[in-house]
Amino acid sequence: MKASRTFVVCALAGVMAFGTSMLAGCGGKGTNTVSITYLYATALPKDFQKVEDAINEHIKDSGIQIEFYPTSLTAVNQYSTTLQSGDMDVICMAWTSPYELAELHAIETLTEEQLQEYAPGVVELNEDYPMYVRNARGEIISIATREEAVASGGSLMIRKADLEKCGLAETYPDQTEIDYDDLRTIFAALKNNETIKSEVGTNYYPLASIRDDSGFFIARDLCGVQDVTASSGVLNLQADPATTTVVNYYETQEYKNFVAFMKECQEKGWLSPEADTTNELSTDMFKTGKARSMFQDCQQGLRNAQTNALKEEVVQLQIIKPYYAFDNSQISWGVCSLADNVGACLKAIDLMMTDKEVINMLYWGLEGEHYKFVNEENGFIDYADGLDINTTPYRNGIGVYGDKRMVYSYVTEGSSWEADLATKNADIAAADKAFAERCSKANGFVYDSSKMTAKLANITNVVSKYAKTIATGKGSTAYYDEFIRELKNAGIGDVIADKQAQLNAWLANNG
Amino acid sequence: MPSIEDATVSESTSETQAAEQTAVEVKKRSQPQKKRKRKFSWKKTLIIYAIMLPGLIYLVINNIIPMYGITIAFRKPDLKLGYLNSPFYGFGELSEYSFFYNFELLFSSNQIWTLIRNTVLYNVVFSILGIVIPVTVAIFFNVVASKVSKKVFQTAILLPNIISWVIVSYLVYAFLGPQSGVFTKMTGADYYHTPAYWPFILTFLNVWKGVGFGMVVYVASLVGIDPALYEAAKLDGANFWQRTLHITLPSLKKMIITLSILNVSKIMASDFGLFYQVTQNVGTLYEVTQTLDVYIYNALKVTPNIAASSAVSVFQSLVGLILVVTANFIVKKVDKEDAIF
Repeated sequence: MKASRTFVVCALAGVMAFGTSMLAGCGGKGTNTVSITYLYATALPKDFQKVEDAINEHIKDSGIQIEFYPTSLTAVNQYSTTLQSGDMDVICMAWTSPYELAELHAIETLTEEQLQEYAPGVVELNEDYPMYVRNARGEIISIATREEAVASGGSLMIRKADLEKCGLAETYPDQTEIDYDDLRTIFAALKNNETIKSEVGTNYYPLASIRDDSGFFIARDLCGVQDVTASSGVLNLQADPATTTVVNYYETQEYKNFVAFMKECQEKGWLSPEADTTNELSTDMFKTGKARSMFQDCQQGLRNAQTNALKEEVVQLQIIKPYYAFDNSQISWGVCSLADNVGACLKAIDLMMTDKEVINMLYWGLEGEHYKFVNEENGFIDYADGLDINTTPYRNGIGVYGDKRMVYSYVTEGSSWEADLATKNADIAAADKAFAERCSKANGFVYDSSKMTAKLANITNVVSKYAKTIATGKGSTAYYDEFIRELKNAGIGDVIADKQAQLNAWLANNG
Repeated sequence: MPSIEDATVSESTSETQAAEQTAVEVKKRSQPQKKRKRKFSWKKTLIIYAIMLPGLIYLVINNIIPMYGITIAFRKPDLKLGYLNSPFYGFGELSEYSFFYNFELLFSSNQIWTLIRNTVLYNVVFSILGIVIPVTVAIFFNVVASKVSKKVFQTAILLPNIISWVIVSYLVYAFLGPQSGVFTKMTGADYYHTPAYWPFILTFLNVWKGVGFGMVVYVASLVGIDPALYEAAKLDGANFWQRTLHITLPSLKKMIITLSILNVSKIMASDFGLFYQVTQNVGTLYEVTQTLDVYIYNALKVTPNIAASSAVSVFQSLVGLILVVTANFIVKKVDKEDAIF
């Protein structure tokens, strides 16, 4: 009797313990399950779940499980709400500032010891490339995506067939260095070309619109300056690669030349009059043929990507020489401060940075199902049988994951893997040369803008008001003068002085 | 035996008594009647509270508890500690900052008066037209006899209300786009680079989109007016205009006042979709299109500073609260019945 009573008590206790543990598991994820940002451009790939399952199967021995947190590329600046919920453990900060998130304590400050213990692959990568993104106090706040080639400049993308129709293909082969006079020649020829007119009608423009609220990114690439925004002043590297003087970007001679040229483009009908009001992306205008060329930075791989998107050969003409103004904070990965297990998060980042299988699954899906090898040794692939760029159920071309040197490349339309390899190597060599010759002295410097928040917000608003109209050649001289006056009223002088003082102090310690 | 005199006296006495009785009854009726004691029923009370409960829970969760979030406007956000445990500016390690540091973002702007001017003036115009036009349309709608015509008209006028501002922005662009716009081709005007047109365009769009919903609200009030009043007025020879002026409008008075007071609460807020999407955020139009909400979006889109945007919300709500209380106070002074609290 006593034994049976004990059994009943034990059984009840067991049932309660089981129930409690089951309830504890409800609605949450295990401490070894890491939720990671999964960035997508327009729509979530159809086979997204299949790829997540395949990655988890591949990493099952690592002791962690990955759970993707799908996030649209357009929502990356709304992270503060997501982070407060604690649903995301590892966050991708693509083209959004990790410094601001670090100041909000939204991302964890990482230590060298933690990285050595949980992310040895990242530590190894950091030996020849600055993988660690540091704040103004020198603390590690995130891990950068390893770029294949780090230097870049500004370029013009144009269909090779169009150059041939204009009789300019021989004058302007791929990678030719050009200036504004060359651009004038090309745009005038495109505008007046009868063959193009007969093919697409007269409703086209030689140059695509610039869809960028600040009018900065394209202008930056064409003028060659450091920094991701111009609100706090820039180093004018195109004028002098060794400069350490912070200046108002919008007052530089390079910017004035750019604006004068864009004005000419408007006057001569080379650029759409709707350039500053349309929502159409320049890549879409270029793809549909509404625009016959577009400005883009000349990072390695972009030309081939355009060729594949258009399914015809695209030529890239360099407007400014590639320069190296290193900013590894543009795409980086951080551990959210509300994450349960920092070690597991770092392990996940490490796998994403160093495991070739994981990286390529994230980019291109599953071998055999989504892609097939053309040359495995050099990493050239093609779509699986019966699929193409439009029909594949998985493809994520946003370059945010891992060590990009490990990412396979689709063979360029109408080309061969051998030719692609030669182009790729030449691009990387050019970037390396730029790295050696045209490297900013301020690389590694981070501006702490916390005391200038209100002024920076005012400056950003002034830039939003004027810069796009001016950068698309729509503003008068008086409008430009008003812009500069408003920038000064908003306090750009104070911000530049603050930044210069910090840079001087940094150079004294690190220069 | 009583004499005639006696009889007259007694008659007059009974008349006086009757008159007194009537006066007492009238007095009694005019006085608030003593409430009859009702037996308290738990069952009935609980049912009423149970009906109220979902709304009450919603009110508490959605409106009362988040009020504490107002304090975010005075804190330096620290996501690790949570917004509600983040340190306050002006205290402790943040003592070098002003307590109102987050408000500086807005008030240090050299555009502040333009922003407030745009926000307030558009709201005043929208509020006035948002009453006059829907009331007028509702009155005319009410006299349409054909049920089919009513349905068609109601659908047509309500349709813009369910179209998002993003879609509207494309429609507007199709009409006013610098190159391909239909009106641009007809008039030759460059709408997206001429600020002078936009106060009218934005007002028109706001009315066009909101008139249907406003009309439905007023039509619902009109339905409740006793038709006998109109019939009696007709018999007395009142024409349509007189009936509208003396029956319809007075019946709508309370609704108009209530909606006006509620509109006053939103005087510092603006419809982001209208002012940001429809204008394509074109900088040349900022002088007449940038409102507080758009400014904050533009200023903060590069920095995730939720505290600064919270500060602006607090400012908007505070101004709204003061104006609502003031407007209600004035209404109460004029006619107690029309005040909403």
